[in-house]
Amino acid sequence: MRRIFLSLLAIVVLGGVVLSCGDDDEGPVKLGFLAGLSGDYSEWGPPSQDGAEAAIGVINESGGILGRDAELVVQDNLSTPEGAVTGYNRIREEIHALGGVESDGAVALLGTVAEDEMPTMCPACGTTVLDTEGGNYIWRITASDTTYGIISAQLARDLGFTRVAMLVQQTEGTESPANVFKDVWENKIGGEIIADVRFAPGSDSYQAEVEQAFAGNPEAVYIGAGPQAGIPILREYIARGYDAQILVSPDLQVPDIAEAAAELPTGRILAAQVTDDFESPAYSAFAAAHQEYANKPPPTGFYETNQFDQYIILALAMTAAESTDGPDVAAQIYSITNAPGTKVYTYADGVAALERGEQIDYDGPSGTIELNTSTGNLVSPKVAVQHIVSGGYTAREVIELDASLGR
Amino acid sequence: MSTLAAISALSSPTFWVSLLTLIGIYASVTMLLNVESGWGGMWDLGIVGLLAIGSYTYTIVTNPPGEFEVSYAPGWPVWAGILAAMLMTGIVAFLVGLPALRARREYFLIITFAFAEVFRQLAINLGDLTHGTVGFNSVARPFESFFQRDALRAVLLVVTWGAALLVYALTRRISRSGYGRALRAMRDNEPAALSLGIRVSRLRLQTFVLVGVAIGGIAPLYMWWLRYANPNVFRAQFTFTAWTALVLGGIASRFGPVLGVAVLLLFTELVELIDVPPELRNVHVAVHPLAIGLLLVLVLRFRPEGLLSERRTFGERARRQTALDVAMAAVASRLRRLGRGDAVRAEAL
Repeated sequence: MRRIFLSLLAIVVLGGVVLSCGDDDEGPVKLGFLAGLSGDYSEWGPPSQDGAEAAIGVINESGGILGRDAELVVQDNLSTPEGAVTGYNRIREEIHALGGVESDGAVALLGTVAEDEMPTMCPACGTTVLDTEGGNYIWRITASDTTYGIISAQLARDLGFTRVAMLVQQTEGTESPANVFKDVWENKIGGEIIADVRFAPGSDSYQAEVEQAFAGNPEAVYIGAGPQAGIPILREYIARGYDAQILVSPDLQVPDIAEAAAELPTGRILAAQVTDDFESPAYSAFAAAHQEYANKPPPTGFYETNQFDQYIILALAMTAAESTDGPDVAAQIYSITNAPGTKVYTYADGVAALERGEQIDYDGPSGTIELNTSTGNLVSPKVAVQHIVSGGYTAREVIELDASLGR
Repeated sequence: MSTLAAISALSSPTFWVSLLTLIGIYASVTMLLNVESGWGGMWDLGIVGLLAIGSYTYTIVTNPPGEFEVSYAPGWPVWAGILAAMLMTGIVAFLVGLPALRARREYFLIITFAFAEVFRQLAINLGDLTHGTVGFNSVARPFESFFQRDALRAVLLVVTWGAALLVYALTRRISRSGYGRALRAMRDNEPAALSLGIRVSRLRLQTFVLVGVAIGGIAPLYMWWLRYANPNVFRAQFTFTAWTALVLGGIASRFGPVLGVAVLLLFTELVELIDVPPELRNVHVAVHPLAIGLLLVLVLRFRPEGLLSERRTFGERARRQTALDVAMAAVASRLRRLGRGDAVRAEAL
């Protein structure tokens, strides 16, 4: 049995080595999409993939990349770091760039993609690790958890609150913005945290935690949780008839939460979330592409525009570099996203400008994309206050980050 | 993923190096799980807790000072990190084993499961030491200054399988020794084993600590592969995968854990690589656990003892032996080894 197993393994590996020695300059340009299609991030998976597919459709409609078709190589990372490493290694040999990655996967792959010189986009990573560690082969085109934490504290300050409680799930994605919120609220704004309740996810009920958080009659409560914990917490809040203002973390800005809180007055639950640039010409082009390739109008709040933008940026960088090699593509990213250059809003316009020999400055449906050249982060992500209206989140007003609260 | 892409993944050396490394790590852990659960009858659902302790210990002590905002980062060399991980998991296994091993079967199982979760919560809450929910995204690896990228991964694959071979040699030795026979006797009939002089409590604790120390040696391999220590990594899923592989391969067989891990992880990968159109992707994802469950059901239906059985491992003679026979053989072996008593008389028993 052992001998058979080892022989089979040897055949497969040797066959693999032989088969993998193909010509890299022919065939489609393959762009990896490594995201949580199952597990904790599965709610974001399908809409994210729709955004990615729309980008690939637009790229191919406009002549592809360097005359070659673009192809999306989809991999589920099971929403775990182990799944991200396995999934990445499954497609690493065939792809020219990687996108779709979330926080856990991005952090797990941080060293590996740099070693592999694999251009990697993070359209939905909030992790504070990337505040300082990206920029060479990994770029983040959404807001950091640090931004969310600061904005939430700023929002609470602007609403006139002084006594706030916190109810936070102990996972990286929820604790990161919560810790920033606490730090800014106490040390920069001078507000009071009257209760800081942390809990492990996975319980059926969070009655004790809700009781602790609301016991001191706070004016507002910051809730940082995933949807699975968020729904029972909100039900408990409604059942007990509390009236404190609720500020929620980005993970709670999903339809299930909005539906669970539909009976609350408008504005009772507030969220700070990156918002798309609906007025931009790029957005109307994106919406049309989404309708065509995903067969439905785009939703909001699922990073679908960020997913779209990442592949347009990568494709434009390849066009500018006239190469699909990782180092060449990486070297062009900032020249595509940052000023100076001809402002372009679509892939076709970007390619045309590059062919004319112009430098370009791409802005997409997700907003102005200007990256910090040291860290690879968005210089000023566009964040809006979101209210729940008729069982759905609605963006109300764009908030400018108060620079005095920055860390 | 198109069919071509699936073939491409299967033909990718990176894919195989990564997968075979992971199989090697899981195989080592599952062989050790087999020693305590398969032969010792201690149903351990907390194996991931020991792995987490080893992983965190290694990562913390090898972290260079100043890289993370933590209170302790001595920057020890890799070899010292491995020793520290083994020592720490051994100590924790001893401390957990003292109270936990008084319980049997499902009670022991629940205690070990709780222990793993308690450790995960400690890793979250001792942020000053463990970097909390963020964890460590940089893990020291050996030979980094000698090899680049793919060569380093290939070297770590060889190291991983070297470790797996060592674990296999250890378990093989145990299975053929009086110690192994005593373990199986204790599992099959504890009163009989006790009556024959086997110090059951000590044997259980010894085994638990031995497995703990060995898991501590495997944990750095997992960190070298994953390069990320975070509480989220050490969820019960790891334990369930090891147990599924053990049942699949054959509980208490010697080579079964390795075969079980290889079959399970390869099967999982093949299911993942099945070509489906985008609109069926969610269905495909949902079918994963179902497919693995089906594999398990099929194997257990046609090979109830797993792909390899304990009977096959220990030969025809063992098939005819009763538990008491095994216990007596264990005692005889023990007497012979200790040089006390009359070994011949013991054999005659």
